[in-house]
Amino acid sequence: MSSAATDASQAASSGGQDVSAYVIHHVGNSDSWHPLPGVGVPLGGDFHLFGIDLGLSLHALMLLIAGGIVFLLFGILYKKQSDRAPSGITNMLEALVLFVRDEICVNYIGEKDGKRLAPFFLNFFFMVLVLNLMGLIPLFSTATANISVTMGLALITLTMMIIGGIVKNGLVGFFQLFLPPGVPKAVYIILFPIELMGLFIKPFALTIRLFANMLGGHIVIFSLLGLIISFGWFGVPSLALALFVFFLELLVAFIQAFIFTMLSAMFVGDMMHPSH
Amino acid sequence: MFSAPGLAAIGAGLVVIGAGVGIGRIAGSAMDGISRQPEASNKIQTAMIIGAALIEGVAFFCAVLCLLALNK
Amino acid sequence: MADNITNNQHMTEEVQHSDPAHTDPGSALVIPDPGMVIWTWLVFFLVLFILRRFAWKPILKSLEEREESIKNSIGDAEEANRSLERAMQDQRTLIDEGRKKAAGAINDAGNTATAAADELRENARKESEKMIAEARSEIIREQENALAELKSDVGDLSVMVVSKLLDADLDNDRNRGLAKEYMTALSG
Repeated sequence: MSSAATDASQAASSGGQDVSAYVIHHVGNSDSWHPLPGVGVPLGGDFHLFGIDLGLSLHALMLLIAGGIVFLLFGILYKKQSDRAPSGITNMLEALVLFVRDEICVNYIGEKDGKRLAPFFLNFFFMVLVLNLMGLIPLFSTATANISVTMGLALITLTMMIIGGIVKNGLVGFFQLFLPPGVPKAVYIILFPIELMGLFIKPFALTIRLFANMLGGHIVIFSLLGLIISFGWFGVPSLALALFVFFLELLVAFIQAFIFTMLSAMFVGDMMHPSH
Repeated sequence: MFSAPGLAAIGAGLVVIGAGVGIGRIAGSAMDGISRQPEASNKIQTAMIIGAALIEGVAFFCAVLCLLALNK
Repeated sequence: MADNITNNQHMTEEVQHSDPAHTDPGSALVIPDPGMVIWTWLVFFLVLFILRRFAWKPILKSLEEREESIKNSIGDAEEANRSLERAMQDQRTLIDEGRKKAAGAINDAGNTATAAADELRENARKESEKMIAEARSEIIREQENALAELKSDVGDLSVMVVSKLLDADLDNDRNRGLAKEYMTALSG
């Protein structure tokens, strides 16, 4: 937050246009990393593979750092204590792991498959949580406020839905999932495309939900801080409001990670064990 | 008056009205439920958060549409 | 790089992408960028496969084992509890039975004593009643005997008196019979 404020006062001129550019710059993807005011780290270059730009951008760096943090949490900081009651970080992590496994995986996918797919959803939950929380730390930027990132995650859910449906029900059974029973055959012509659209709308809603929640929160925070650009020193009281929204964002980060994981589990469970 | 950014802003405001009414009703029902049966307050709270997040998802979807309209 | 900054003079950063998403800074936020999608997949699956082998599977397995052992130990504890309960129940029944037997024995002894006493009393009473009845019947017999003697004496006396009065020699048998008739008619 301090770097944002000093950046704002550095932008000097007062004008709405500057505020919007300032907000978008801080929220969107870019090609260099500014951990401290005045220190810019240009990242990776033009690395094109089949015409797709795969250079290391800011959000890609955030993704890597988040992966590193998750790996640190579970690979190194988690000390296995198998003979006594756990304490410290192990305790907190175990509580979260148990919560995700019992309330989310087993609840929606069933006992056996839920336990088998638990690593997937654990990964979802912790990656999204760490990415969301990292966005609130001044050093880093929110990768989940990038629609490409959330779309990537939702596409993984879509793939799991389709693969899970085909593996559990067979290819024919997979298409029968879209033809609910107890409906006269003539209605199938209308119903089948609608159900098929429903298959694709669910991950789309997932991506929009996560993306817009994160983006909206950060836009609000940076807009409030941008009032300092517009009003100079008189805009400083907006810091209090920004702080309040910051705490709200903290809550939303946890809730959105939980909702993303839970809805993914619900969709995959629906495909694997249809309960029509 | 009918410029794209203005209309987009009005649209976003209308979306927020819908979301606000929906989430307000959820929270109100949750309060009723908790006051009637304090033992079930944990479950009611969880269900309330999930319902609020789903409604917000729809609202944000339209907010994103407004954002797109803002720039076209 | 300079030819990409068409209307981006306000942005303080250099943007190297040449796609339309960045000519219009606002819509850059809502247009997906395939490169980032691939980056997301890459990082996600990298973390998934590394942690699945080194963290998730062992952690989940150890949690399962702990749950199993807790369930087992709870089951064992319940089993021990139940057998303890059963042993205590058996003990209690034994004590109760013993107490009941003792009470029964005492009762029996009391009953026997009372019965014996009652029997003795009954016998005594019966004996005394018999004696009283015997005595009564003897008294009556003696009375009757005395009466009969008296009657015969009175008969004889009256005959003597009448013979003296009449100065005649009465035939004892016939007169005695007549005197007896008059006696019975008078006393009857």
